[in-house]
Amino acid sequence: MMKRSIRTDNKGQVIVITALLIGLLMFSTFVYVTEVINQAPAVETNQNELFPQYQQNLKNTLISALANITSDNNTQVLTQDLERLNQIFSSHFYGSLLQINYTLANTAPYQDGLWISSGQENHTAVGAQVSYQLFSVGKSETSNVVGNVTIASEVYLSGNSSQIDQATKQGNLTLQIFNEGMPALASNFSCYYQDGAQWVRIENFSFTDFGTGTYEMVFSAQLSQPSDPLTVAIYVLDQRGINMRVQAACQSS
Amino acid sequence: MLNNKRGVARIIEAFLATLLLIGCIAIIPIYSAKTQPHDFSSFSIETLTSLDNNGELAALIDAEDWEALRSCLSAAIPLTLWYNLTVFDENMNPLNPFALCSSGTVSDNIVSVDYLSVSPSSTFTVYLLRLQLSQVGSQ
Repeated sequence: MMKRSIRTDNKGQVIVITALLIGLLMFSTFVYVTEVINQAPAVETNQNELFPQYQQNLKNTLISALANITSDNNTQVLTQDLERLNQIFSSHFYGSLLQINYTLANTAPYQDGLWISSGQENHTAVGAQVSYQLFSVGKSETSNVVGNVTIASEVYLSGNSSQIDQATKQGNLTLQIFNEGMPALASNFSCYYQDGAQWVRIENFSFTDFGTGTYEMVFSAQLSQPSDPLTVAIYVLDQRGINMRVQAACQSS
Repeated sequence: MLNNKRGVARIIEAFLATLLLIGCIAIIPIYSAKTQPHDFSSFSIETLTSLDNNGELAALIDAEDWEALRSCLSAAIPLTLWYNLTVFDENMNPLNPFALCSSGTVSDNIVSVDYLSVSPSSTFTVYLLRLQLSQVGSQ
């Protein structure tokens, strides 16, 4: 067995300890730098968070414009609101450079982004359709998203009538409301029937709400000319604040 | 000669052990520090987007129903998270008359997310919602 000498053996140990110390020093420096970087407030816009937000707001903008158009008939509101939305969006997200373009749908039944068929026989639709392109340049990523948003409120009205006496007819109406093709609820109704050239408001009617976007109404109408067909018009305000007028001639049963 | 070789092996061993140690300890804090704020920010946007579905969020602000807004947030955000919501108008004037926040101690790491909300009412109104989120209790 070789005789160990402290003078020769401790040289290796000193180097080992030195290596460990240097390693620890490097590690603590690394940890310190990492912590400092993490604590610095960072401003960043994540593209994946931006697009659903834009889509949702575009949807709300279209609903707002349709609510406005159906009460004021000012169709310019749609373009004005979209311009304002894009301006606010572009200026707000300072973490990335945004370029937003939109196109109003011009394929039937839409014209200049709008589909308004209010007052039609048995069916009325009020809608808006916009396609958009959102180009975003961020610090770490660039993305381009294309999509389109459609908002459409529709109401269907059908009915029949039966003669009760010489001058009175009973009308039975069925009303269905849809938002984007799905059954939706209404928040307000006003019903009228036509007597000659005049529209008479129906004050008393029995009303059934099935809770599925389908409503039934039964009412009596006094007609000056009993031979005239019973024509009704209903003003519906859906839960999004969009006004619609639907008209129907009740079939005699 | 033999002694010298053993010394070199020890040095290499020590270096490898140190590197292994540093590697393990270094990866854990970096991973947690990088994922947490990003998750919070995604979570904030997802929460606000889902609450804003069908314009409910903006409708509550239109109606100035701050208590209902706080209830919605309390229901949507887990108890392990602290939140503070401030609602601004287009000119960055705060609208909520009192703080819409949860109670509890807050960690140093707070994530703040801005969310734009357009009111679907017939008057086009834009609100800016600033939601701050943090872990409860961990200092």
